[in-house]
Amino acid sequence: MKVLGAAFIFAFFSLIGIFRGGVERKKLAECEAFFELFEYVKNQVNYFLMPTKIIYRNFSNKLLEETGFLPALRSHEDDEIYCDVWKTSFKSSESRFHLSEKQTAIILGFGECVGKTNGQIQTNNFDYYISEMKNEIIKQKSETAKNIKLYRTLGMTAGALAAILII
Amino acid sequence: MNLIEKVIACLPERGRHDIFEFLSMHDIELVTELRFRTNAPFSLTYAGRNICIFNGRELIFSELEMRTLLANLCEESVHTYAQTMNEGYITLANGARIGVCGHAHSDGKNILNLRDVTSICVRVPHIVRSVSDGIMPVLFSRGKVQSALIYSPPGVGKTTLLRDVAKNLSSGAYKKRVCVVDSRSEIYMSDIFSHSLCDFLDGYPKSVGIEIATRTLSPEVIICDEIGGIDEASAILQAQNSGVPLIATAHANDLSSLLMRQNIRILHDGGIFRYYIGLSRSHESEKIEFEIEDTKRRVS
Repeated sequence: MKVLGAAFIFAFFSLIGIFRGGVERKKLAECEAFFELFEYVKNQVNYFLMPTKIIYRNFSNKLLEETGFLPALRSHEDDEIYCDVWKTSFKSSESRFHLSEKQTAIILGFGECVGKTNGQIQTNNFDYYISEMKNEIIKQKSETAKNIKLYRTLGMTAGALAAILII
Repeated sequence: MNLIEKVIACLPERGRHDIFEFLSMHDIELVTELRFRTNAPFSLTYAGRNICIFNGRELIFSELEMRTLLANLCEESVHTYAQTMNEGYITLANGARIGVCGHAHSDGKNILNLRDVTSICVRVPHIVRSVSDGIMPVLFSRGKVQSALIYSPPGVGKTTLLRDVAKNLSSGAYKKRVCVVDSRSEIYMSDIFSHSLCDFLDGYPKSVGIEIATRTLSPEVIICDEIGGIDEASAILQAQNSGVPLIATAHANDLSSLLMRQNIRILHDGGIFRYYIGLSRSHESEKIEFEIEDTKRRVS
């Protein structure tokens, strides 16, 4: 019975470690998805002078669809008063993201720039947030590889210790 | 939601309530203009009077509030409107035209950018039906549409009249193929033109629009707002050589000052317009009055 309990505890802690690693992977995927959206919005504004209301109509990204962010952005196309849509859409789906505080700030900062000024100023602002997000992705990539190993090792170690204590 | 309600809803929270309260106690149909100024009083033109005290105080909007208002009016698409904004206006989807001015960055000839908006002027378009009834027999006489130039000082109702003329000629008893060169997108209103034979060249520069209309759309009449440039004069001369009558408008206080303008003079000398129609508003009834000059004989 003791052995069975120890095995259960070990498996439980190991899974927690693996799960924490998975969150890091999700964080990276979310940053990449937003990076893709940033580039898309920049092109739509800069080249096509597309009205903000319909910019998101033709953009597709599975992750942003599943979190509800893109559908929320698109749901305002028929609004008579269109303002602060990026912010409200992000806030409505924020709980489904795993982003860090800084990453969230970059996303909200980017949204603050969309459509508020002329194309040139927007492009300059977009470039700033795109480079910020790029740096975050690089940082996140190295942290993901490092943290996955760390959380897995920690989980297994904690599980092994707990199992030893039980036995 | 009408234009005034939309504009007020686009305002920052502060000030919204006072304006709504004023409007709830007055006839909204009599509001013709809303004017916002950075760090100066907001004013509203009601039945011809400028009102700037609401709930016993002036409403003064800050630079940031003005920027927010402009972005909201543009539906957060300032980039889409940037070009016309450099020309001093934006036109919303429903045809409402909003004048914008601020600090311009220019190359000496063209405005490159507009920063720090200082004034936003919302002119409320009104659907005034049958306003052109008095001149329709003149514009359509001897079995055909006659060329005419309608003139008046700003704000008398040239565009409203032109819109009604376009609607009358393209529907009902006349049913003519009408091409409207709507370079500032202020003539078209979906409510009015839904059952008409009107083709709109929306956003085209006037000279280009007139040329395209003449060459490709085989119109029975061309309608164009606010002519005056030399390019427009030559395009009109060309169009008239093809025999398409033109009904246009121009800013002027009276006929003599209108004809003093070089480009109008060229058109006058070329015999382009049969009629010159001056508009004025009677002080008592606010009704539009016409003074029609027939280049062959005086009508009234």
